[in-house]
Amino acid sequence: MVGVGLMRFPTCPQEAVLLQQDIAEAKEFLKQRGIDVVSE
Amino acid sequence: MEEQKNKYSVIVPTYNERLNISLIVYLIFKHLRDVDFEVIVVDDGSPDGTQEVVKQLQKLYGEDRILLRPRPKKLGLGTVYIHGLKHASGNFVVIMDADLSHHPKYLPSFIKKQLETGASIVTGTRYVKGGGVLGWNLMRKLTSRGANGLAQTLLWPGVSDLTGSFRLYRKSVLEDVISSCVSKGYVFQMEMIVRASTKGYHIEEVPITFVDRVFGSSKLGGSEIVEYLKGLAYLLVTT
Repeated sequence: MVGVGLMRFPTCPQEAVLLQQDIAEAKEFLKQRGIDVVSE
Repeated sequence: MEEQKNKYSVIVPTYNERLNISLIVYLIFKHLRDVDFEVIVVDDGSPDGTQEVVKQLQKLYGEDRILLRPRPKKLGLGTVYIHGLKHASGNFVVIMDADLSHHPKYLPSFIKKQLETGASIVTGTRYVKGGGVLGWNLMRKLTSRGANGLAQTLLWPGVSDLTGSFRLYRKSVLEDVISSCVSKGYVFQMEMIVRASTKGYHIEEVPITFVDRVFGSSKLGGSEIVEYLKGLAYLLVTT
């Protein structure tokens, strides 16, 4: 039963791309407004 | 259909989330444009300057929209909720992780589902069509699926994702459920849903995607499995 669940485990590779876009957009916005968004 | 004006308190626990906190605040504001809400950051004394960043965000978005309610040190997730609740002025509470594994773009769907159904709790599920996980290897998927499967078989709460922590609660319901929970970590997440289900609260689900840690270091360790099994046993006996 776990095996069936494993096979049907939804994965979402496109989400990584979307997330990277969101992060770039956020950093741009925040940097312009003086928020500290430097990564370590 | 509820006609009252609703306000949503979004509680975000943080520990060393200096970069992620500003990203997530930006995304919350982006996706909740026409909603009355506040963000409550519960920071456990982060040494990386998280609180300083939050103060900058307060200047940008307003101190009435972003509340900083820190604690002196790491005190555990369960007490974060209790602490956050004390400061929440909304009639609904959302709890989400700061590390971007919970994406604020799903917040409108939580809200919409609650308004449509009148549910007391709306929980995000990673296991249905439209949902999913990125960044988990085979072992992690197996343990997660196995864990949920085991919990469902034993506890039958009628919810497809028990250990997820991205949820919307009616504030009064969260207060009631939390008062009877004693577990820690993600067993606590399971316990909340099981208790709520046992008490007869209306629970709905929406699909969400979960992208494992993008920035920062993950907080999952190896002893979690033992804690999980202990917690499950506890729930079996007490519910």
